[in-house]
Amino acid sequence: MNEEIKILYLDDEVNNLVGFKAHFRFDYQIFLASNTNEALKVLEEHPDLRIIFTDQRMPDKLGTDFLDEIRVIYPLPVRILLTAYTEDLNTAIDAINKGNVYRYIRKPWSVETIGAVIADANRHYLTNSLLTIKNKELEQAYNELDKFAHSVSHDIRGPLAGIMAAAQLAQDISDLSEINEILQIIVNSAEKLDRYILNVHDYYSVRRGEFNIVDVDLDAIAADMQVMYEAIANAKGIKFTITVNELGIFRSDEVSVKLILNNLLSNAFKYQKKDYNYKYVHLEMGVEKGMATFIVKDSGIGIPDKYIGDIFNLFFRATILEAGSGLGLYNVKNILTKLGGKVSVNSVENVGSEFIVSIPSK
Amino acid sequence: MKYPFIVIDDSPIDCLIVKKVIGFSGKSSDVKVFNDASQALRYIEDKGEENLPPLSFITLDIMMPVMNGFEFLDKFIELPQSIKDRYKIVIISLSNNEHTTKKLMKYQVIEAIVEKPITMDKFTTVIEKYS
Repeated sequence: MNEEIKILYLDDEVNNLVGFKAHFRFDYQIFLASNTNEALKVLEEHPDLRIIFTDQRMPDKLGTDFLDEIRVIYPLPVRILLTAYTEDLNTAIDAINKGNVYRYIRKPWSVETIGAVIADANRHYLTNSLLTIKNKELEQAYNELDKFAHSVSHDIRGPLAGIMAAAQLAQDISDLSEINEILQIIVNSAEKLDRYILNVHDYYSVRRGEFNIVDVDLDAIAADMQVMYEAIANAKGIKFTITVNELGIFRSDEVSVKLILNNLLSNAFKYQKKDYNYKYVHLEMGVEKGMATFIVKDSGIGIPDKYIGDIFNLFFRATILEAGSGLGLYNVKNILTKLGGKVSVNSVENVGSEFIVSIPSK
Repeated sequence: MKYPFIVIDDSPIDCLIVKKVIGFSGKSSDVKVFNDASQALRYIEDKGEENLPPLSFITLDIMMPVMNGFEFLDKFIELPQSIKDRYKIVIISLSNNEHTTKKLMKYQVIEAIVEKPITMDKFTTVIEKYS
């Protein structure tokens, strides 16, 4: 039986209902209604109904009028009108214009006809729903692109303007030590631009969502992270510790996992309190019962409560204390959605933040 | 004559450049830098009216997190007239599209709008009438 395909049949003649269910209950989920109120109740409880069969001549309402009433709230189910009479042309016109019906079937129906109509209607439903979903995705992509073009032009031109201004300035002055200082500005601007472009690259690889699922070795990742952040930890006097608790196999996309950890760790190192003697970053990784958990904890500046809800938004920035693109956590959230994972955050201002990521093994 | 300057830009690199340009122009008696517009506003409020030099300049970026340039301007114009009169604001920002420029025109405190990258030439043009 195909549980997914839910069908409603509305008819005031109970014999018809019973016969319909007897024939099709093994193949589909059938819901019956002997009046329009019952039908509405079924629709309310099962908004994922795919196909509605309705009789035309019913004591309380015409089938076409019922279909007309529900089309605004329930636009997706495919409508099929059954009728015993040789109706006039008006009924047929109403059925198409008001009821938006997909098929018009004459009673008494045959099992073969209904079976074929259900198969057709289901295909029609799938195509339509897919189109609706695709349209929504497209709309979202457009909005993002809009924001993106705007932000990219600003964030790329910013460091470039810095480079141009500094170079111009260097031409205008002759003091050598000043020129050296200005060259450093150029280097810093170029590095900022480079980091930004890397982030944009990440953004697009996440969007494309091409994953390469492998057995992820958490110990190896721990060793990688230790090496990668050793220099910054030493330079800024931050204690960096990692614990691994591997109680099972974790299958996922290794590049994505590293991208998530790199974003969270670089934030943890970046947003530390300036004059604090016990700066630390701690990474805890574990796998248990097909679920991997990563916790990144820091003694940083924390996130004000009013911003917690926004930090995963595209181009959102909560602080001016450090340079950021507003892309990092958005990328994290986006990958996690694609991997079926979750992220939550606990943060206290001036105490620190804790990001908890969980990813199911594929 | 030399004037005090307040530089407001979220990018430390841009602040440094503006500070250098101001320095080389020989027009500044003092340069204060703020990466956060709200802190600059507090500084101006705290300074009040007494001991305020006859004229100070503020250079202001537009696109900034936390408090952007427009938010700063809206707060600034609420200050007492006697304080506002002592400041001239120079906008130094990246994309001065038509919409932004139109919006900026409404603020009378704005002396000039300069597009980044800031150069000695652009800066001198703005400041030369204040000898």
